[in-house]
Amino acid sequence: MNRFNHPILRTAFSKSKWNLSKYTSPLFRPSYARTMIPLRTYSSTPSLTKEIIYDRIVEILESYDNVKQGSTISPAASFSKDLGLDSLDTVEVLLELENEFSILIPDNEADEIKTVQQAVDYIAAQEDSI
Amino acid sequence: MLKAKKSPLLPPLKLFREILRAHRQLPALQRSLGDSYVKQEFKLHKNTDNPIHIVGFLQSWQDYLQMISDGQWKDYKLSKQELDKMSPEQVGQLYELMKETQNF
Repeated sequence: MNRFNHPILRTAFSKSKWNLSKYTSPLFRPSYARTMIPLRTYSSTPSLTKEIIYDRIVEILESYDNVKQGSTISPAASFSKDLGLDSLDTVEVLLELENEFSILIPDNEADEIKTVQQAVDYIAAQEDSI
Repeated sequence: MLKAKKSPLLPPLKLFREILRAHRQLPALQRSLGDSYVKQEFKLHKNTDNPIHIVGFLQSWQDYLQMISDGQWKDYKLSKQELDKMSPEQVGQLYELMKETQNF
């Protein structure tokens, strides 16, 4: 989305002492307006990409003692088969992910998450993950 | 506690998850103590195959979950009955624990 057409910014500009309404056409937009970011735009926080999610999950797994020594963490890695985690460990890891991304994973969905990639996909699909 | 005893037993993994979730509302110190204790206990008993032990284990932890969730843990007191059921070693250990907690 063009950031100057964002509703929050439009309101901000219409209320500001600079009346920018005559610049609504991109042709008339002065260069200073293009570099000015007048307020904190919550909609434009860097989006949580799958790469970022993956890296943060890897970090959690690396610091988790029960991951089998010498196992390689990869997207396809299964918590139980490749990382040597038992069902209790997996519950712990998923709760840790809940904390990390500020989400709540319902039990029936948590039971379906068995690999790193599934965890990434699940978290990416949650709108409120941060 | 009577009311908690009537509710059906939760499956082990669900119980484990609910306990760890309930611990999130505890103060940091109690939480870290509680987390490591419950993790250790579940680990130690995961291969138990005696049904009576399993039911007893799940029931006690479910009562515990109830106690944490509704805040009773703060002023919970051991009953005379519970104390009488303990072996002399357990009473001794409890006494050691009490002395230890006074250091905080």
